[in-house]
Amino acid sequence: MMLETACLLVLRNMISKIMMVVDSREYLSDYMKVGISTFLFPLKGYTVGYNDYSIEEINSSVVSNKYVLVNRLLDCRGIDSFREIISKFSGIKGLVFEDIGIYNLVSKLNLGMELILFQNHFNCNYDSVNFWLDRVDSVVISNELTLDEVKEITTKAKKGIVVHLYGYNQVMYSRRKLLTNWSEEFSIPFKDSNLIEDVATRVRFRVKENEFGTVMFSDKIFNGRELLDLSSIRYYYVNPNMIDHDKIMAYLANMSRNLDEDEDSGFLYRETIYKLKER
Amino acid sequence: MGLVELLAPSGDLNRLKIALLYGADAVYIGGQDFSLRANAKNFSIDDIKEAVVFAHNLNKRVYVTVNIVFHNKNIKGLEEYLLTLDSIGVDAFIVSDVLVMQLMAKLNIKAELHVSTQASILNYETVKFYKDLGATRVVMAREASKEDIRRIKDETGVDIECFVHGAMCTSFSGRCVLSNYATNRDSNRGGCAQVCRFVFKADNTDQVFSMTPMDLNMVNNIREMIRIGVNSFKVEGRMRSAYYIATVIYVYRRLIDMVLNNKMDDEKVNYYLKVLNRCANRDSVEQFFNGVPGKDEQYYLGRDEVSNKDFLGIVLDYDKNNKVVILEQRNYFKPGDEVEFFGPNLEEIAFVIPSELYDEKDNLLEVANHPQMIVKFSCEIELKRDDMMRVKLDF
Repeated sequence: MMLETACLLVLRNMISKIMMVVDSREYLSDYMKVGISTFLFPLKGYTVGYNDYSIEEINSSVVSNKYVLVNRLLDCRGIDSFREIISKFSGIKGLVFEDIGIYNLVSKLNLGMELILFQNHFNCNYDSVNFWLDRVDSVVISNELTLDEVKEITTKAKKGIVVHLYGYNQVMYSRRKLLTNWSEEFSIPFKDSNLIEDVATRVRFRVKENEFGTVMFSDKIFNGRELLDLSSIRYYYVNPNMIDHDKIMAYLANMSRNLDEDEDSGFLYRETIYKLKER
Repeated sequence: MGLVELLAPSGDLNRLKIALLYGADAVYIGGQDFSLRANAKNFSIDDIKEAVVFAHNLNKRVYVTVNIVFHNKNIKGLEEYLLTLDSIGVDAFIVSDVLVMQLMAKLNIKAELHVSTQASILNYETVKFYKDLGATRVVMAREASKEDIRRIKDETGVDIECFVHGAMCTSFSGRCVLSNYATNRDSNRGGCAQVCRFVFKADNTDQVFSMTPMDLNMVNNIREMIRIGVNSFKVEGRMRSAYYIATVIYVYRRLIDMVLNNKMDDEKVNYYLKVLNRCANRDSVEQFFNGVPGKDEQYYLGRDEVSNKDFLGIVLDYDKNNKVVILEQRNYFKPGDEVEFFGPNLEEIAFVIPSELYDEKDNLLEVANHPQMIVKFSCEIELKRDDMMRVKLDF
């Protein structure tokens, strides 16, 4: 009985650290019922690869810890327009952003918002992470790191960091509208998301497109259950986009379970090659 | 008008010298550590020393890429590397990771900080951030439009470097790890396997396709780029051949000089465009400068990449007294072939291969058919070392 209680406490502690991407507002109550209190709303017009929400939809949502995701790389018009809308948010705890211009803009405005840097594929070492932690509230570290690399970063980080915990990993971001181009070239009906497979290696990627470009994701769901044991974690990033809701809820009920067939550990145990001749 | 610089890639010392002799104002190179193109030969410390001396003697500059995204274990040796190269006198480091920027400030590195295109810079707020960190120049994302470039220049005043020619990524540079997933090679540490050029199949059709963008070519936009304040005109291709680099640099040198001297010649521009298209093995377009490229600016299926055999030889020496050129062969040629010479100080000039060709031991040759064989023949045109001979381009 005591063991069960202890396990429950551990699970609640883990759940309380989840930053949940909002895939659908109708699922918010399900997530809150299991104890999730921090939500990330992809902002319409400023995100690629996610289901997104208008400022009004985000403002009207009655969740406790609301963060807004801006993952587009912004051109000059984009940064101009973001400057105009930033004051329209209400009840927002913070911004999670990819473009450094957002940091330079918002850090001078004293809006009382937390800033969390989320540059996909960057921030792969503790010095770079600490550079940013002197300037922002937290950093989402790269998801192409080994478990040992993540551990070293968490050990040496000045503040709590954000790690990917569950969801399809972002693999590529293009300004080009690759699905549109492809459908127009071959007169194939357009779908804003698709699954593609490299004919030679059979490696598959999930592709999503909107007017601002194309994002590709891994075919396997990343499950970083080994990261649940780490200290210095500010948030665990969970992205349920493109995942069946029942599967997400089952995962949240038992986050440390063994991997399903459609899940993997990403690069936690698979170091990428730097120089071919070294192997 | 500020600095206007033609910046060339160089994969080794030979290509570096060719690039500078053919008109580049500066070259960018990779050392054997911390640089993308990790599997290229790259430059040793001694090579970099020689490169800097060679360039500085011509009053030109050398930039070194330190542009990988560092993992923990890559940090070791970086400080010593930066200090060593700084003492050698390299003129700038091209950097993407804030770790390097911070270290350059801490070590009081004299070399300039140039922010790499890997940083995907598209707006002036991002540039202001890097300027505060000490950057004197930013390399724009290849996705930057004319309007973005103009605004950034106007609002920040930093030097702006833009790619003008060469291969393109499908994604934003730095925002792609397709290689990591498909081949376990880390694209942000120089291992890109160009997976975007692979052939794919989607789940809703059997139609195969690739996502390969056409190459970049800004010949028709050089005047406008200079007008809006671009300072450095960068050619892609540290892995490209000496002939490719000589040809591309030769053309852009002349285009830039035409603009600066207010002597634009549309006929000549069209000719140069054809020279470049012939030299490359892919079609080239202007990409993002005037808008987002659409379906006609990429490849979908396998394309014919015809090996270019235009490059016939490079001049090693010229005997003025006897009017004989000594040349190292690169591709097959024979008496009677119509060719042309061009060089660092030589405008294209037509020539017909004479009836008598000799090898280095003065044996008569029927044809020049061995790569790198030495060939001698009479030539009235006064040539110089490093001039090049190619097939006559009839456009």
